Amino acid sequence: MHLDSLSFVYLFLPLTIAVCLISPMRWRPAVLLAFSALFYWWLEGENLLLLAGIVLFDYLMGRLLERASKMPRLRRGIMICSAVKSVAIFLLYGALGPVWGAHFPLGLGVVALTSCGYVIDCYFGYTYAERNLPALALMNLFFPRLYAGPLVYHNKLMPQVKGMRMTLERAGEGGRLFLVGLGKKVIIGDAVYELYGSLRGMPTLNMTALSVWTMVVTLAFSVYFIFSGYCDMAKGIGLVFGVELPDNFHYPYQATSVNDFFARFNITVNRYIRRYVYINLGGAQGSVISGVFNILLVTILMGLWFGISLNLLLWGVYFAAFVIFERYFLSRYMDGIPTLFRWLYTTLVVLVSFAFFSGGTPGQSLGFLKMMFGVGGFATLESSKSVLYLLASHYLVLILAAVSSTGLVGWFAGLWKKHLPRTYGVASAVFTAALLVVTTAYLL
Amino acid sequence: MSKKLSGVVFLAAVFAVPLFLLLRGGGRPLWDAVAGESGTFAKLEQAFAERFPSSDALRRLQVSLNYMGGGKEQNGVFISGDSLTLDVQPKSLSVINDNTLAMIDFADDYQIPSYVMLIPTACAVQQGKVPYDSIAPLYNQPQLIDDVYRRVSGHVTAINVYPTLFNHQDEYIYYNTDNTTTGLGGFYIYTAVAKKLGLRPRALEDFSIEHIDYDYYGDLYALSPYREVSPDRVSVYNYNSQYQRSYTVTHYSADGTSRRYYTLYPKFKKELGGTMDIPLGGISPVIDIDIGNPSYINRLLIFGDRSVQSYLPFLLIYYEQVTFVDTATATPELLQSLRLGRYNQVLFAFSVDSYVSADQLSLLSELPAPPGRQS
Repeated sequence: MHLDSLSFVYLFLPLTIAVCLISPMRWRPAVLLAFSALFYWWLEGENLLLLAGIVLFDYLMGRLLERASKMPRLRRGIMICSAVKSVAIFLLYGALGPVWGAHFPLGLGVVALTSCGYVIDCYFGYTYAERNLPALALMNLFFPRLYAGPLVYHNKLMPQVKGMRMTLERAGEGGRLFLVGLGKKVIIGDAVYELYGSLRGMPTLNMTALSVWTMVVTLAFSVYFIFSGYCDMAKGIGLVFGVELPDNFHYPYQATSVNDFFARFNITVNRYIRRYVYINLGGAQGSVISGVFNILLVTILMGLWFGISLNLLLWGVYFAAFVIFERYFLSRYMDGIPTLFRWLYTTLVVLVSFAFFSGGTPGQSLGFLKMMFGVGGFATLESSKSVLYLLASHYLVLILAAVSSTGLVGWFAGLWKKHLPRTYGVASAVFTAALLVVTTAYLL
Repeated sequence: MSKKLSGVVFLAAVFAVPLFLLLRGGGRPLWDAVAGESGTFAKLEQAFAERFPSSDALRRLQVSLNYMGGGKEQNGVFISGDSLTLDVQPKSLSVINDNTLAMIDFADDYQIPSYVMLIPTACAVQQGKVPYDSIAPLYNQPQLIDDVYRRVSGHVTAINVYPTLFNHQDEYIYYNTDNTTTGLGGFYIYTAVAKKLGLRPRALEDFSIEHIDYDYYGDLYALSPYREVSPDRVSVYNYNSQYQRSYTVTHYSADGTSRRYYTLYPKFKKELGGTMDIPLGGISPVIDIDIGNPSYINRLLIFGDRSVQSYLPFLLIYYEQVTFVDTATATPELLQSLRLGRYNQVLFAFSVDSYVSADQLSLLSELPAPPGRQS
């Protein structure tokens, strides 16, 4: 059972809502935790114990930090111990897992980072040591977050977890958000990813500039729509249960600089790395060399969030080059450059980055890059036909993806709501119903 | 207000579906799927999809939306306005190679006059019906047929039905919703086959036509239920003979049981199975047809697939006995019971789709050993 499955939408979700509704408010975190554990057990079996172990460990670390309030060395040791534990587990499953044939458990990254973040927050005094273990466990294991986040902070989420108010308004807003996310995933994301798969599966010898450009564009769209779809679903489900989760994507392909792109793409992960790594290393405060190093580290970690591989590391290094270029050189001229050109520059940089994302090895990515810029690749009639056929077969979903990745739809909805609030209300309900029907059709 | 209304709609919908399933008795199958030991999630999803209210209409909606968006090939089926065509793509070259070698080995081992006929599918013959036909990456079926025929040359006699079907491409020779030839298509195949088998083909007027279904939806529709596709008309053909003709059609199942019909078209089977269970009584691993016809004494053995339903009724005119072996479902035990020495001719007849997508002929090794090799 996954978030984008019939059994989740029409069995697990209503059952969870019903049980939570009839439970007293103080029991709701425990009830939701039980359903989250059940959901995870169904998906990952005994890996639930691993996640539970992480949460329990950090719960105890938090309590220890509280007790060791007057022992700074011990406190530091506890914090480092928690961070090392999270990094070690990440490396163990991400880098060594494939060696011994273990897969990377779903949600491991989200849980390890959230849990470790809580301990670091306790250490720096940003938050208090949680005594309510079920509430802390729910913050970490809340099932819709496990796919793609968003990452959350204890001090912001805990008050909501402890007072889960489920209302019809929140159910409406949450349901609509959930369906928008589900639609992003199953109507656009999956279709574009299938197109990407077809292009990626073409023999390298038959690839041309057109096919590689189409491939990176479809990969960029699918990464955005699948990840942001999951995040919207998480946010929507959270709202239904009275918990407001932060945004994780905000139209990243509208960005007008690489820095702006990172402020819109995987927002909570970016903020997490800045909060716990970048700032603690001094951020941009020190010398140019330390600033460059810090940026490099942040962008590399952003890449490694998607998995541990040489290509993703290169993806981070590639972005670091542009972030550094913008910070130390382009920032002086940025305001003078027309928005359209800034957007074109950013889009080009971002699209090219997906050649690293797509390649299995650095060599393969280099091959893609060469073809994108007209070096190598033999355009045969057959290969060109194949790409045109795939584009013709997916033209509407590509247009839909392009339009939906801008804020145009939201802007139009806002305009409608402002000028015709009554019709907007009805239209919104009709939209929710229609989206439910269409997404259900795609789940069958 | 709008959020409340959306909330009511959302909650009503997600609660209504499980309630509907429970009230219609779907709770038990869903529980069984959840409580199952293996493949729980897949089973649960399948059970849900099967019992979901208006699931057929929703699937049609999905196909229509994809079609509107340019997706004119869905689940490996081309959708061209009012008809569906299977996109044939080979699984692997080794499958084709193995099938071809098995035919050659058989012909060399048994020394029975052998023939091969690969029937091109609709996407090769009626290319105009394929959407984006100028850029669609179609598999070159004529090329495959030529290659196979070239390889078997000298061992097996090739029967090329492609030109005949191509010449009649504007007629109703393929079903709109099923991946096989119609009765009329079967007639044209028969005209090409008969000449190669040394028989004199009869004219279409020598057969009376009976329409057994005007509202047939075949296997392609199940894969891509596009709402604008027209249902098929299924017709069967009877030879207008001046002599009394009788048929005894015996079906042998994989479990060793058999059933017998005294007609080529047991119409009652439409109620029991479906329209396609009428021609020859459907398809079984082995079908044995005895023809009460004193004029001919030849016996024909066919290794093939379900396309046999379209052309075999025409060929029966010339034989005393025809045995059909469905190579996809026949068992070694059934093959052991075949007495190959009785047959005058052997025909390997497959649609190109069957031939390139699955091992059809490795089971020939289960046949009784040829006379010279019997221990």
